Amino acid sequence: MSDKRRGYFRQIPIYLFKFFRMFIYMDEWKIIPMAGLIAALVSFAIGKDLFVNMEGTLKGSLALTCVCIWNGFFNSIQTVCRERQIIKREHRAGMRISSYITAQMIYQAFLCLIQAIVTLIVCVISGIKMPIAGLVTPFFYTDILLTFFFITYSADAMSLFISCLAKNTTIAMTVMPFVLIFELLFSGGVFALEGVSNSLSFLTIAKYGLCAVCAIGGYNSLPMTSIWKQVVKLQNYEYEGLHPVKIFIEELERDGKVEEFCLKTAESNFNIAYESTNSNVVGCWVVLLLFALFFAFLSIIVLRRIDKDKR
Amino acid sequence: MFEIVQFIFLILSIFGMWGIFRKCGEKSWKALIPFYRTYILSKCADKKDEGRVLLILDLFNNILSFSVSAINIKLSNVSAISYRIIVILSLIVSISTILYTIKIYSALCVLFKQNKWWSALMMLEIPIYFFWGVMNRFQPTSTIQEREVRAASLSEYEEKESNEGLTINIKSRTVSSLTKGKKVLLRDIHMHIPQGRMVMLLGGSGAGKTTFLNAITGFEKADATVLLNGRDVYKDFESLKYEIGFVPQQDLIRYNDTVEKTISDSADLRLPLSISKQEEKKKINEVMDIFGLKAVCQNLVGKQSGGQKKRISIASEFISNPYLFILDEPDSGLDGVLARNLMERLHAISRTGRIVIVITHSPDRVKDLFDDVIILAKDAERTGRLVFYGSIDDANTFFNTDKLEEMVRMINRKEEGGEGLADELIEKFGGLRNE
Repeated sequence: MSDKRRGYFRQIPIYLFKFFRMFIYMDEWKIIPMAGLIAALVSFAIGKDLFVNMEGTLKGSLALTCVCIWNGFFNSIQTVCRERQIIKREHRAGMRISSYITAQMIYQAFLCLIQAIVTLIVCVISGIKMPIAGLVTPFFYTDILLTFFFITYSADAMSLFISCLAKNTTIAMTVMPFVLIFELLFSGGVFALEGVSNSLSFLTIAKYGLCAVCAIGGYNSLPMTSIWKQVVKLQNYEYEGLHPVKIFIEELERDGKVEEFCLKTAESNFNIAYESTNSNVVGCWVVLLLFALFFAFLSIIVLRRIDKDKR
Repeated sequence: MFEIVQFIFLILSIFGMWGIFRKCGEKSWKALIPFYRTYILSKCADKKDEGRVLLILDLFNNILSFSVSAINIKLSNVSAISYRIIVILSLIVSISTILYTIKIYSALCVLFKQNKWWSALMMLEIPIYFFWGVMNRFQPTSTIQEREVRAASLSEYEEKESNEGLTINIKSRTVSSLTKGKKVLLRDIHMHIPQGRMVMLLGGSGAGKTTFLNAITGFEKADATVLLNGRDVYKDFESLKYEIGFVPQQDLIRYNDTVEKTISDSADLRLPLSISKQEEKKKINEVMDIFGLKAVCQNLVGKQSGGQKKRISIASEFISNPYLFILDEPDSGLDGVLARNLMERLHAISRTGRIVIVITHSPDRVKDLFDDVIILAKDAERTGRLVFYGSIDDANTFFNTDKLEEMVRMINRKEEGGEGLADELIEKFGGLRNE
């Protein structure tokens, strides 16, 4: 009688079905309405100017990217560390770490996809004005859905890796805020980054997520309204008895050139990273997917050392 | 001027340490060796582990300080990112250094029977080292030599290799770490357990019971030879691991899955592919029957009682029909009746030709179900050693008592409420074996 046991591929369904069963029994489905709730809060706060002007699009895209990263992080940050001892026991009994992580990645992809769909639906219901045409696919909705998915999935894989590194849930939950702050600061959406800081931004999920959302939302082709608003605020400025700013505003309004002015100011704020091209968006997706695969690979490497855990 | 004051302070502190080392029974000239003298001071305070960490921190801090000055000379630019990183690192290391220093100084206060407030003053180092080292009023309660005790000597016994049962020859099991150094967890454990035996493993807490089990299962390799039916467990671990069932102390099973699925997933992992689905299903039913889980098979594991969870945990391991079946405190958290019932099931399993090894902390209520007993204890060096291996009757004669709990009390250290006879009994058993 052959002594051969289930190998890599045959062990994946064992864990995959287990995770789906636990999704139902463990009330893990609660993370889906939670994703909707967070998306609703963000849409309420930033939805008015998103995909309408440059400033609103940048802030809104960053906020949505952060929502996706947050969702991804919370999906898996405790997944491995909370059952670390069980994994250790099963590993000793013949479980393959690669099968376990692969099953996790498939299951997490399902969670991330559902969360991306919920986030998009909430954005639509909240009345965010969205473009119609897509850059990569024919529709904007599929482009943005895929972007949400890749950001969430990438963040999910990263926190899965953190969960594999951490010996318990307390450590994992302590590390998570630092990673979140790092993602936010080095996304390039909040502060202008130069030198080393700029180099560090290439290591963040937030940067590629932000680039993809801005590119799909046509950031570079949107008007910039903040300068016009500043000009309007200065309309009572007096110079040698005259109000030159007021005259300038009146003339632009009379000739219907306000929109052109806003577009002109936007031109000076053109950002190549947010260029609305097919290759730019696909490039960001590929990087996000590579991040996910890289972290999954690292998770396998790290978790293989589980037998060395001390009591 | 500052350098001169610094130099005088250094001389005074070396002078003080010289005296402290002498009083503590350490070689005084070691006070002359930079960095290392801090470690020796911690050794005097019986805080060797902390001393090792402090030594590493001290070295690291000095490297950082050197780097700062090097960068300063080279770049003359305090805004350089490398400079900032080094300063932050230096700050973190300095805080850790202070904390470890306080730990060592507090222990030194205890040793010299002084108020712990002295440890705050010790941060000034010089006056304390000087006073404590020079003045006769300050004397330690014990020297390093007085604290060092001799452990029981090693036996020359070694078990002969056998093609049947479990043959164990553990020379030592050690762990090493940068901060804690090398520590011997187990030493000199030799025995042969024939097949079909139900064996009890006893010992006080920290005696190395779980370490011993991990060593014989090959989960944590020791300097040892472990043969299961003539096959080397360490060399042939990948195939032999399915012959070994290890039930840990805690119920390491997922609470959010059903009882049946938990056992069937376990079967999928452990059973060979040659077993058909029907056979596997039959086996799962059999195991659930043995452990009385049929009635709750569709329920969630988390909803079961402590006893049922324990049985699920055991069933998950038993599904592969292991030849060597090891259970770490399977009766913890169970009442007397349930514990007895469980042990009876395990006894029945052993009678089918398997070796069953059980750790229990309530040995007397189930001792009639066991054939043999292994007793481990910490020796004077806090290493796990074999005090006794043999039948329960022989154990009664060896310890001159028929209470197993009494035997454990005899080998436990005095500070643990025992009689502290471990080393004496280790020597006695080693002598008997050598004869």
